[in-house]
Amino acid sequence: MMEYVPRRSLIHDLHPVTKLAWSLTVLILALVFNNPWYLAAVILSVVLVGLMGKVVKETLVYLGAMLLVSAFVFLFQVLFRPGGQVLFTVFPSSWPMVGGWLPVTEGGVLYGFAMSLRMLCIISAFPVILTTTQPRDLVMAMVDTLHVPYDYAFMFTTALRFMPIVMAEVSTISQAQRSRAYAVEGWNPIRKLQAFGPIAMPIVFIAIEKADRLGLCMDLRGYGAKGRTYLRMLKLRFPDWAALALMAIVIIGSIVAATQGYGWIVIPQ
Amino acid sequence: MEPIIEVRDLHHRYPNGFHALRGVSLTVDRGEFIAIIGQNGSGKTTFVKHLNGLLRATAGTVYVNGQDVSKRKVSEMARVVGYCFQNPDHQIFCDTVYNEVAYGPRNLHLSQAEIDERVVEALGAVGMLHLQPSMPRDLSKGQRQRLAVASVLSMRPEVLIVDEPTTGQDYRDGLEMLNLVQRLNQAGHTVLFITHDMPMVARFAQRVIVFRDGQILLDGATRQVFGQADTLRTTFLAPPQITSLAQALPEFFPDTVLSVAEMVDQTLDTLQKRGKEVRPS
Amino acid sequence: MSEIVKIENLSFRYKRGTTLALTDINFSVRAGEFVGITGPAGAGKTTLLSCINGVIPHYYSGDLQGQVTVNGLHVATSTFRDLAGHVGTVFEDPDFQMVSISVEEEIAFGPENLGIPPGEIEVRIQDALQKTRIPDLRERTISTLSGGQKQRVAISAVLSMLPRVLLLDEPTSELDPIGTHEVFSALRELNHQAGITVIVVSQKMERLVENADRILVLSEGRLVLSGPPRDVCLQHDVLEQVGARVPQAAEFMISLLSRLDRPFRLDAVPLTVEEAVPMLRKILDESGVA
Repeated sequence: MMEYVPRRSLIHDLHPVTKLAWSLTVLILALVFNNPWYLAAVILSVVLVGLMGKVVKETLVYLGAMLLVSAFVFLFQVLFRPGGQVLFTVFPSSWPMVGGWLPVTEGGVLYGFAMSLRMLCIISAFPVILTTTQPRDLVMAMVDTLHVPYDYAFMFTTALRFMPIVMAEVSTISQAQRSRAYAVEGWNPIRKLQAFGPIAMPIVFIAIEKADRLGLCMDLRGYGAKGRTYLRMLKLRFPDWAALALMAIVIIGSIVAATQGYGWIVIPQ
Repeated sequence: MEPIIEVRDLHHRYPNGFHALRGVSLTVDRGEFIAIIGQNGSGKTTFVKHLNGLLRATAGTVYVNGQDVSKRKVSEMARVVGYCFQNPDHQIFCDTVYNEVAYGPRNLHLSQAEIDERVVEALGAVGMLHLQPSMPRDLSKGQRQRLAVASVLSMRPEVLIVDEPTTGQDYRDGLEMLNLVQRLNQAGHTVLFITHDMPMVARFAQRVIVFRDGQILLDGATRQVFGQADTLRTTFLAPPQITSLAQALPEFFPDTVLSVAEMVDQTLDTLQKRGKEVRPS
Repeated sequence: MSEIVKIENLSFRYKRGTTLALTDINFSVRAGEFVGITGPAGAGKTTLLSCINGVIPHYYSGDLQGQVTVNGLHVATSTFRDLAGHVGTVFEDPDFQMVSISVEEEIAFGPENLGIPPGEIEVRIQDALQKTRIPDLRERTISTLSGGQKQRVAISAVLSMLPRVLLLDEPTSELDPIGTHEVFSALRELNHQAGITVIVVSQKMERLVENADRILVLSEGRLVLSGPPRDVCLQHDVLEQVGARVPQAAEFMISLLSRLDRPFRLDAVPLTVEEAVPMLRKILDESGVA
């Protein structure tokens, strides 16, 4: 879902730093505004960028998956941040004992929309970046341009590379244990925790051993010294500078607008 | 007698669309000792995982011990089919050898007395009774492999599937594993083992099944299968070196040869018939 | 011819070891040689390789006696970075020795670490892929490759550091027959065409005897046999005793000749089926009616 998709597009050609700056812009916009309409518009703009990058499908799939999480955020806010006029109650007033509990209020609904949309907003940029940027280029941008220590940037690509392998090992372990009648039955959380042992122990041991071996292989190929070069050293070009300038304008503009009262609604307490 | 394994027109398509098994049919009788060979990706492992229900057929049927595997849970099949995975570290997680071997029977909710009995039996069969209180992580690789076999044996399965018992092992450990598996076969278990080691196949297997591209290419007695070198070549497999040597001189060796000793004997026979002097063995 | 690897009076005990992992090892490897190392588990094969590439003493410490030199460098006093340009190592597990997502990145990894300029890295990548005959795999994602392909990429990734010596620790033990064939073919090519000194630890005796100039047999930390493949095969009782495998063609011929009371000659030890066929035919034809 979040894997690099090799295509030719405007967004693919942008420098990773530009794209990282864009995700920062989206984050700022999400925090500056709280009007659900404005937030929805920001999300739409992200989808439009996804369109330019020819990764709309991947972006929407990811956002769709996040809808469940945002629905929870919405529900949580509605029920636990009441304010203003009561629209209805979850438990009808006619019911004995619980009648009239869990009011759904105007403030709650607005706040719910605002928070869930804000959340979607903040995370929406990531699939676009990850699908249009090769991990190695992200690493190069982080280390060379942003001076993130190589070890940290490297961890990111390494995790991406080894996730599928580790998942395959876990799958094999699971199969081996199931072949010995290991079964996680029922809903008892204590049993579920106990059931972790046969899967967790082997993978932890294997992971430690393999990580050690991997570290050795890296050291044997000169890992760790300063002055690392990159096969692909990307440079910021005109489209990057133009995009960065546009982002700067948008950020300043949105902050000014917010202070003037646009995009900000008052939510009744 | 009813065969212990009966597979009819088995197909399996992985979620990503890969058609790994394309119509596999075979029967296995009780007590057979079978080697399954083929290049990686030919379907060998996919096939055997259908025998205990780890994988489910996309089409076709699998019957083990008269039961339709598709209607049984993996934990139920574990009592009938024991699967020894290639890497013992994929299953070892307990603090003592005893607990490791007891894990399977405990999952079957047996009595403590029954569990004790089975652990002793299983460890005895692999020659590790004296190591009951040891920590599995302290054992050598060969010992851990035998521990893995014991922890499957304690389920008292009729059928044993052994996945690559000699891969990544040195010659001696690999030989010891196969000797162990052979003893288990002689004790009554039906054994299927997956391997790339042709001389071991020639030495131990009674029957060989060759997989290629999700189908069975050859299925027959070891001698017969290794006799078909041209067919084996189509999937880049070759019989043991000694077999190939005999096949290169068909005028002197019309039958398939499976071991160096056989070859020496046959050569000496031929020479004696021609009046050559031979030192007795 | 120059000696590119020299091992003198090498003995080693691991820090928490009770016995010597290696005892009094002496041998040298000439530039361009193809050396096979075999022996049972625990014989010290991996330990020996570790003493050549610097893993001992830089990664695993212990009691090290004697001296190991690679291309003139003393291993014990050189850093990994120094040694990386002289000796490279390929390990057994195709999955856990490479760090990158694509083949190209993986081959670039070593030179990038050394700070080599991008232009030069590009040249090295092309060269390494050519040497292992896999230029078509350059853009591929490593996780989609077969075992044999992965190992050849691992070899290329080491070659881009431009070592003169290539060490391999059981590179085919996890592979299927095709993969094993691909790797040994690649090694043979590297050795013959590019003149790279190859030192391979393997249990696949039949592959070693058909490719190696010399075979070393280790057992319990000692060097018990060392010599050209034919000489080593001739000592089949020693091989059997230490638990090493004897190639079937050689075993057969030696066994046959002994039963026929014939004297052993080195050229009577076949290393492959192709060599054995005419030998056997001669023996059978000699005897009978034509």
